[in-house]
Amino acid sequence: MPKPFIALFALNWHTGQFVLQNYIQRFPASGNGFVINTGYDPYTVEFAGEYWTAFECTVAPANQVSACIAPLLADLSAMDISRVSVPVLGINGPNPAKPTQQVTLTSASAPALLPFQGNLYLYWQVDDFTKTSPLIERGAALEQDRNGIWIAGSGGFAITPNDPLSSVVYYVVPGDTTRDFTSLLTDVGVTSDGSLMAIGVVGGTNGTPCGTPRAISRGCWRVTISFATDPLAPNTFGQNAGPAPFIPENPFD
Amino acid sequence: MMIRAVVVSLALLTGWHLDVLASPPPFHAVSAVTQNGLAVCNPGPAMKQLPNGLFVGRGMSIQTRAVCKPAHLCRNRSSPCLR
Repeated sequence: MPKPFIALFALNWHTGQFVLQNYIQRFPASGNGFVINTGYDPYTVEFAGEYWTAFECTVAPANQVSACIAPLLADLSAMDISRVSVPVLGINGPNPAKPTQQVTLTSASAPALLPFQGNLYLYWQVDDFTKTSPLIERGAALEQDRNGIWIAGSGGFAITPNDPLSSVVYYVVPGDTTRDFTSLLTDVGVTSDGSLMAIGVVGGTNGTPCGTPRAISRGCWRVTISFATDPLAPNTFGQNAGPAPFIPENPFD
Repeated sequence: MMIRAVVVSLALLTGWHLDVLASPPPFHAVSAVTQNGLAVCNPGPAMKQLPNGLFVGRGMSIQTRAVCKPAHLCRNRSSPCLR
């Protein structure tokens, strides 16, 4: 199967189509001591005069599903892969259904970046391979050193997805079967009044546990909006929900 | 499958629109914040619009449909945003 890539797209608002402009990074790619076998789900922000892209990646040799970060070249023609870092590394282990096979049991998926009040924050989705634990969002502050960007306090080394240097910023609602299994962030930004607006998706165990957008579960993967002031407070994006009357229950509506 | 991969790869290399396949969207139904307001997009997580109006996003060669419309077009449930 062809591997995903990261690219620059133009959006045709009349047709609703993204049109490829140029490749930014194809994989596998090597840089800064890492071999990144695949990269996808990019999230780009401007911070300290550069465009930084966080993306979900698999890292050689074990191919843990992880969160990578690298800056883009100023002309957006490519990623500066020589400065890539892996601040959050997934955890591999035996596939419960096939113990001879190593798979990522806990991932740092679909990372997002937030520049806020002079700092840069990283969020990632903790995805349990067996889909038996809730899918939740964690986050942490980043710091930059000469070898790239890392989780603050990590000393320039990758942390694991559930490391206590990070906090749970979006958590499920126990007892609500439409949102007791999945609480994930898809976008976060700063509003005009300086607060944070987060867009996420939620789902529950009402039917098949909502582990993917395709799960047969009422309201699975529906969009949520919330407002916050603290980027790392516990469940900060699970509170102060925005108005929902116009948000479809079905994610494909 | 191979033929599809080749066709779509050629489509991507030539800048052809990504929604050339009829397969259902396999990825997240998500949102993107743009200069023009909120949009609901698929696939992949949020695609941030850069100051030059372009988006950094994920490309896939198979089963990819990238369709995005402004949020105000999504409010009528009889008119799906994503298809």
